[in-house]
Amino acid sequence: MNNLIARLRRSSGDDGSDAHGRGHGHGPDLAARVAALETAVEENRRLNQRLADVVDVVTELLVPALDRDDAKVAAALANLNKTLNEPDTSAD
Amino acid sequence: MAHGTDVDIRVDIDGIVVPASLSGAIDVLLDGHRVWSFNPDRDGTGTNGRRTVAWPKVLRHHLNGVTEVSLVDHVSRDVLGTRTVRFGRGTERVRVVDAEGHPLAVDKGGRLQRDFSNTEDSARDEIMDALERVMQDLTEKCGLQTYLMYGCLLGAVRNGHMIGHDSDADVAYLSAYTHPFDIIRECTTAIRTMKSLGWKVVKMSGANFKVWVPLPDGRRCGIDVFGSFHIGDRFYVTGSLTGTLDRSALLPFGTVTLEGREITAPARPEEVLAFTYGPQWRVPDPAFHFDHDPVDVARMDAWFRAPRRRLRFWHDFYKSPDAARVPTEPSAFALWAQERMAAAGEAEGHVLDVGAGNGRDAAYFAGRGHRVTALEFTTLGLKQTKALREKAPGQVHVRSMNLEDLRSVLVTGARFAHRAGVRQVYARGLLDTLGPSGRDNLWRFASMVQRRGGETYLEFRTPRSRRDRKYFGVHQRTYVDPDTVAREVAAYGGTVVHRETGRDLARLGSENPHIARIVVRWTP
Repeated sequence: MNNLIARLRRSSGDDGSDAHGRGHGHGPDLAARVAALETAVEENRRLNQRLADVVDVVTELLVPALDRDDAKVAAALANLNKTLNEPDTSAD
Repeated sequence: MAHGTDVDIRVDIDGIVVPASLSGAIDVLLDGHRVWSFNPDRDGTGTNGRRTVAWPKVLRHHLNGVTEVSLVDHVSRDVLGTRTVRFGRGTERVRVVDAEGHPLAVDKGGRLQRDFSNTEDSARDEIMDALERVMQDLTEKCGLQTYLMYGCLLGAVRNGHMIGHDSDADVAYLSAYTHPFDIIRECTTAIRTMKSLGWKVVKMSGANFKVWVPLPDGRRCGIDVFGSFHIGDRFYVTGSLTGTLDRSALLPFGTVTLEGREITAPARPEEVLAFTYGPQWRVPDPAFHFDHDPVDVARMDAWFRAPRRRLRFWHDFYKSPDAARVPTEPSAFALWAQERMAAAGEAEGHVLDVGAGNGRDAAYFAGRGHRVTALEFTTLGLKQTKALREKAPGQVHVRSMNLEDLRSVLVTGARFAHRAGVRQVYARGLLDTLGPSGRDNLWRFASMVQRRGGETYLEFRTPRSRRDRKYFGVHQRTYVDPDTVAREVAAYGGTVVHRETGRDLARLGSENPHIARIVVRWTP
């Protein structure tokens, strides 16, 4: 992510190499900025799934973990795996 | 649309050549069974008054032997031509069937499936029963606004029947939410609820899933459940359908008649069908496939399908003839790793073979007395070495883990990390197939499961292998720089304790890649 921000800054002239914004809105510069933005947007979109997974795992585990209930923690882990971890490629 | 019966066609292993004047959907029958449909204008190439349509890859694998190929106009049912053809050197009849001998046909997703055209009336009733029960549970137990969609809606509106060339029943639900994060959570909850009700459910993405229903004749029918939602002024239906459709076209729901039963459907089904299939939706077309804008597909991929990246590729690979070309003897890296483990007093321990492929090295480690866990996201390849593994003195457990799926990594990692003892992580060729997010999850996994010790063994092609001729030809590959690996490992708190690069370390047929061997420790 840091690399990405650096790339975006570079291409938008924020690193001082083009303080006057020369090339702003022109061919290669614009193409590079769009490419970097597309990557950033995609990365951002992927966060939805990652965050949803983390929230789900935490939600399922938090209460039994705080209860120090090992059997329930183990069951929750097994269930988390079983419920959603069965990728299938039979159709898309 | 009607054609004569003496159309000039040519059929061989490369494909079917038809006159360019031919148009519309054409069914391809082998010995009387429809196996595929194509549309010459859309699927064909070539000029000079002729169009060549290549066989779908999945079908080509079956083309060995003799068969009578018939081309039939899908709408008029005119037989356009029939040729007896011999493919390859086989002398038997060509058979496109599943393991039980049931005929298969290529579906719109390019896969070989059984379809409804061979479904007896009783099974059709069973499918309708299942469809109604699934819709009822989705509505009443999951609280989702569920409606008939895609092929089922199309069939219902056209003539009140399921479409013969379809192989799945399709329903959708209109999400209560308008943000991908909430939509994913809603779908997760629905999957849990459906499973708790006893349905066999498979998650297909963050916003759609499949319910498998067994049929009396031993087959199973898939009922696809697609999430649909508005985000901003756009309407989306998973897979990748995207466009402008007012909510009033959907709500309040009405009904359509399918196989004699009243089923919940969008308020204005014709409008939804035009949105889905375009203005020509009334003309039957088994060769139809979606031509989504790549931007729309990429958006849906990023929102909901990132964990499925490369899954289909590897699934198809292990179903293809190439799978038999993967060696079953241990790799040179496995022998090398075993020596290093033995020198460290870990000659017989617990090895986690991550991305185990066909299990060749897992079988080897088990043969040396290790307890082995083979972790793979498609376990199809492991079938190849089942006999080898069973003979080995050590046990091999097979577990599903998907390194593109954070949930999978967290849960699997936590379970191993919790167990006492030290384990080795072995990953040969894995970095060649992972992208940055998969690598990130691999470091997370390895550092979790080795918090009490052990070493992570990595072997992968370096960027210097990029232009080499490959044993498996064109393939999805990542060429990661060993320095990048070292940097990423360090960021996760790991230390590279061994690093070498070179050729002559991992020959595969005539391929001699430039590879890196890196060993990492996650403890001081």
